[in-house]
Amino acid sequence: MGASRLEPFGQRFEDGLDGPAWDGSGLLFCVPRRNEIRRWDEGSREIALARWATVRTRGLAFAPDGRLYGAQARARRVMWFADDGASYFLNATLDGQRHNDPQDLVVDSGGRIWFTDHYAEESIPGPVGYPPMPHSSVLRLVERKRRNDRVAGEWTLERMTFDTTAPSGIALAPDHRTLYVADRSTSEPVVSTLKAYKISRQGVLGPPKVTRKFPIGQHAGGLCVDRHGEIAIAISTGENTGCIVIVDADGAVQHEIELADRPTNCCLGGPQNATLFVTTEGGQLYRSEPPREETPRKKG
Amino acid sequence: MADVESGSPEFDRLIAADAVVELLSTGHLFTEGPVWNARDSFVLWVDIAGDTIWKWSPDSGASVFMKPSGKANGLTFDRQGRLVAAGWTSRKVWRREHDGSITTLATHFDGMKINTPNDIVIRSDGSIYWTDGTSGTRHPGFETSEDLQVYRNSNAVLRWDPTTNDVTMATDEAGSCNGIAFSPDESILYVNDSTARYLKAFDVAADGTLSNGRVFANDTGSATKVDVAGNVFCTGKGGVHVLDSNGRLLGRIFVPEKGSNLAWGGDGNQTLFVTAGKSLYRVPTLTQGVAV
Repeated sequence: MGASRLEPFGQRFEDGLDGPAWDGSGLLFCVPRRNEIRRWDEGSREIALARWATVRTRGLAFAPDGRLYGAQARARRVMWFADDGASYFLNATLDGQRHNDPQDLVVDSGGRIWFTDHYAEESIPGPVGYPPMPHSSVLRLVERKRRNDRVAGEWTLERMTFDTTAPSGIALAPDHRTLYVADRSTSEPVVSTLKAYKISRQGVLGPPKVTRKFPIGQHAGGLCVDRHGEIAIAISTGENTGCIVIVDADGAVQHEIELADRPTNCCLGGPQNATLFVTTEGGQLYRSEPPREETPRKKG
Repeated sequence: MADVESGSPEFDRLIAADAVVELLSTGHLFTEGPVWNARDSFVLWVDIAGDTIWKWSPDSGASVFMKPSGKANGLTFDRQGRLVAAGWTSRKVWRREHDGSITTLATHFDGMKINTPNDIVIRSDGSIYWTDGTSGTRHPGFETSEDLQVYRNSNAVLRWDPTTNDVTMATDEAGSCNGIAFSPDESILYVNDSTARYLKAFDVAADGTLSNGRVFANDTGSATKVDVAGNVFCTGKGGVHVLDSNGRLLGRIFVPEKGSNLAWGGDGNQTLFVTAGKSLYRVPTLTQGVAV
């Protein structure tokens, strides 16, 4: 990954940002606490409101067919944000149970939605229809039946990981045969790890391999993977500090880019999909200068 | 501990000191919207998350009345005895005809899909008022397959006109509007703001328009019903708060679970039915409620 420096661009928001996703000509990103999805347009360089009332949506991912899905935290939903402005809930339970709060998501070449799912004390406001699921895992939504473009169809929910405790960032390798997950321990000392799971041709997930264990005090968030298999990870190191750590597939650090802000997530986009975009808790967008070589999209 | 707490002699004339709050049905996910059918002597209520309208009668106990219910919330009956529902996350107001078929009365206002109709009341002229908030789109467990996007990002009391089928805005000054009820003479419309936890009152003109919105009482909950003397029965901390027509707290009825809504019914409309948490309760009173 050729990014060596990150520059701020666009207005600074008063609230934190998350869930960047490149749509081909612009960058979508979430402002979860304002319940908004915003879009920065590559041509005009302007930021505009794309969706409102998004119920704390914090992760976005495009499917191969162009559909946009969102991780709607605090509503315990994965949503399909349709092109006509509608929003549909992908209704599926696991052993009759509702999943917890989706953190981030990625869609594979078969249209299956992989998402990190975590329950926190502040997760659910108001009346609750279902108790929390007793584990924080990577789950996968598989579409069983598509009806039309006005309802969400039928989906099956599967549990994919059995070792995670507080998964957050998630991404797929370029060939979609490896899943990367940023996980975090929930007991002291809190440690973040980058885990890699092989995916068989049948879509079965292999055992986890911890490719990187981050030092205490470094908290891993969102991820993205480039065409060469290098992984960029959003790392927060303090209240207003952080960095983007770029590692290879074995977890060896290639380089780090310091930030005077806490990054939350990242994705690739821009010309040739070679620009690294970063969202931060401080409400600022950052981007790298695109290198000469071509790199793939993170999601979709 | 007694089931009631009197704070005034006026309360003692409304609720007996030894009144017992009786559990009628339990084991539901989230109860709401009770309404009494006077013709056939039964009470209906919803289990929103359970997608069911339930029925209870003195003779038969609890049974399923309608499933699926479209995650309906508030219920009422019109003057023809037809069930009318605030459809919550089905994003509509609907009516059940006597043959069991469903007629959709309202889905849009001002060219946009309505929000999530919460509670509902019908005026004597047949016009239907409901609280149209956005909260239904945010709560897990209450979704339908409907589009959950909010198009009008504000709460309002909307009104359906039976002669034109038009939907108009009655007021957008009711905050996080939830419960709704008319005073006995229909000169006042009460609307609960369940986030700010106060009950607002609006003057109702002859043409049904509202004005002079003001806070009638504080520390209230999500629903309100009124007796024939104009006393206000409102969900609140501990169960049901009983207020006089000036908003003065007269006393309380304690309900074991958090009350969501209430309805008058039983013989002479003297029984108060309360949906709370996973259950339906009833408590006898010495007064008479305004019939739907």
